[in-house]
Amino acid sequence: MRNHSVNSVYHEDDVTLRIAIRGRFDFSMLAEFREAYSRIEAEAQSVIIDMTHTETIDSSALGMLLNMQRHLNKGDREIRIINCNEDVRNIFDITRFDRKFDIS
Amino acid sequence: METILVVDDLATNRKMLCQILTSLREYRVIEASSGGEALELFERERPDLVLMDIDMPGMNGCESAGRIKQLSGTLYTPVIFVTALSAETNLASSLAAGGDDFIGKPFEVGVLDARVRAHLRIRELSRSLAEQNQELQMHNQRLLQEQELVEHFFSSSLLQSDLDSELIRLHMSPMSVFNGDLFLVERGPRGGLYLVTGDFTGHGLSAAMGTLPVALIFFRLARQGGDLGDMARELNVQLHRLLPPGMFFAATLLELSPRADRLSVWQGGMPETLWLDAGGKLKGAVASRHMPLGILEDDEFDDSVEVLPVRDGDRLYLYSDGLTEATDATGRMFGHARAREVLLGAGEDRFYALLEEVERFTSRQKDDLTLVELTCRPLPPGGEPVAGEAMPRRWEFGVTLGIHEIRADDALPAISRAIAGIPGLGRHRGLIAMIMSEMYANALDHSILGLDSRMKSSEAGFADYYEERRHRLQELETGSVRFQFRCHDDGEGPLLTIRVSDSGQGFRDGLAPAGAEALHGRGLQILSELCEELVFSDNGCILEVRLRL
Repeated sequence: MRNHSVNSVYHEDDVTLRIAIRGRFDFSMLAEFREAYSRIEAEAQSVIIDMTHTETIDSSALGMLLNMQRHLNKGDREIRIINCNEDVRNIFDITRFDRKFDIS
Repeated sequence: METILVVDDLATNRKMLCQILTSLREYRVIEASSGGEALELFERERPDLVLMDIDMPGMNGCESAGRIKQLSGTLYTPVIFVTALSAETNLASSLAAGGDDFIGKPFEVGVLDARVRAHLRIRELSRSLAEQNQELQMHNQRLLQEQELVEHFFSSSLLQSDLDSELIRLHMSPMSVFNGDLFLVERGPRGGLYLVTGDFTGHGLSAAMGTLPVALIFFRLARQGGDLGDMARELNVQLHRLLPPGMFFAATLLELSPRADRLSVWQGGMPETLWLDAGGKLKGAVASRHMPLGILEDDEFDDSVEVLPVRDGDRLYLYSDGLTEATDATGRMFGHARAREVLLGAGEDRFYALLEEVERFTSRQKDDLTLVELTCRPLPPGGEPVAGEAMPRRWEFGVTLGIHEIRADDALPAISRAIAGIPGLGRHRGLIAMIMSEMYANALDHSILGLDSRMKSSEAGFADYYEERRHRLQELETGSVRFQFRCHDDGEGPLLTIRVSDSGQGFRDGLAPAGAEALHGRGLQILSELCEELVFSDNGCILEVRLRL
């Protein structure tokens, strides 16, 4: 079993890219995470970052999320971050990321 | 050698009997000249058989026979009257008083021998029967004790469940003391709750034996705030190893978030879980997507969970197949459709409506039956820590990372696991891990590696920064970072101080507040928000933070 991984799949509708992050979300996932969103199809309209299995995040992960947003917003896509645990949610609240992302 | 007590007031009679007996077999013969003496001797010597004269002065033979019978308890001790047959001798009443047989005088030696041996044989039978009885009784007692012990063990491990009747209603009707159905619930360290309910194959003790490892794993991971998928995986690994082939655990695992806005579900081999809103409208049915626990190898196992966006007041109904497979007199099963119909059609109390309907329907209970109703409500972190889990009043923990650990760049998870292992600290694991991560980044990236976080202000620079970091880390030849954790209760609760000191050049950046757009400088912002106090010293080589636990 891999404790830390990035996994991306398209939903059946082909317009939503779902990226699931497992374990500690930090710079050690930088390459994998970039890879997951940079190959996005032109027709993809929205991206979901699924944090169901994300234990913790740190400031480098926040930087990575902002990078992703800059990259994706060229295509004006909707980005949602879902299923954050309380600790992760707390970091997003502290850093006011809720203003930049749709977080739940 | 058997001991025979001869009781007669006449010495000549005693001598004669003694001689006959010892000439017949190797008996040990003892003599008493009165009823009173007979009782004394009996108590002291515990003879195997008593030959007794009836007519004696003082306590007569009948009375002393009765007393001897009382003294000998359940073990058969034959008392044979040896007496001249005459009109005055009331044989019937002497036998009724406690004698077992009589030999009329004058007697033939052969008859005496046969009678004595016959009664000694009966005594032997009685003895082995008594021993077997005693053994059986002890065995029975031991079984009862063991059952009690196991029951206690089970119930106390299950009692640790802090069942909140406001949120959870539970009905279990086991078919035996030990039960293949299991229900456990525990608050998470950040609030919310974890729940597992399931059904082992079989009934009784064999079905119940799997519940202990499940309970142990469940409580440990729930208190650590573990991931539900990981919990399912660990349960599967352990049950796969422990359970005999053909035995498995159909289960539903739930985790309700502290805000009661997310319900994670892992379901393997259980009937569908029904999800109703506060008004009783069906919002969804979660069908089993996995195989029961304990069947698959770890590399075949799927730990993916479904997350339901629940709302305050939503209700979930979970039941074991004992409910859907309940049968009526004609052999029809209760079934999923009927369960769903009853739940959705009922008025206010759906839980009892369903139970009543099953009871009315069922002719005879065939399987363990469990029904759970969970109401989604925000839940603060668990109340009192479990006994034995209280944090030590004062503790310290330090660890120094040398050049090898720093280069390997993987020490933090191990440190945070060690910290989480301190009683009472599991619930703060995530928070402490985040703080450590930011503090370590400051010490390593800036003080030791001399990286400038302004590099990260562009997307390209962000990647370059971490590339440069990797490069400098490889080139690094000396360096150390020391973590010190000190915790004490200052009267307002535990106060944790984390101090990170490094061998580098010190901290070069200022405490420049970062805008929401900036890609750097957020680490310190997070630290200062998470901690009560944040102090740099020694030109930035030492960073100390304090936080209230």
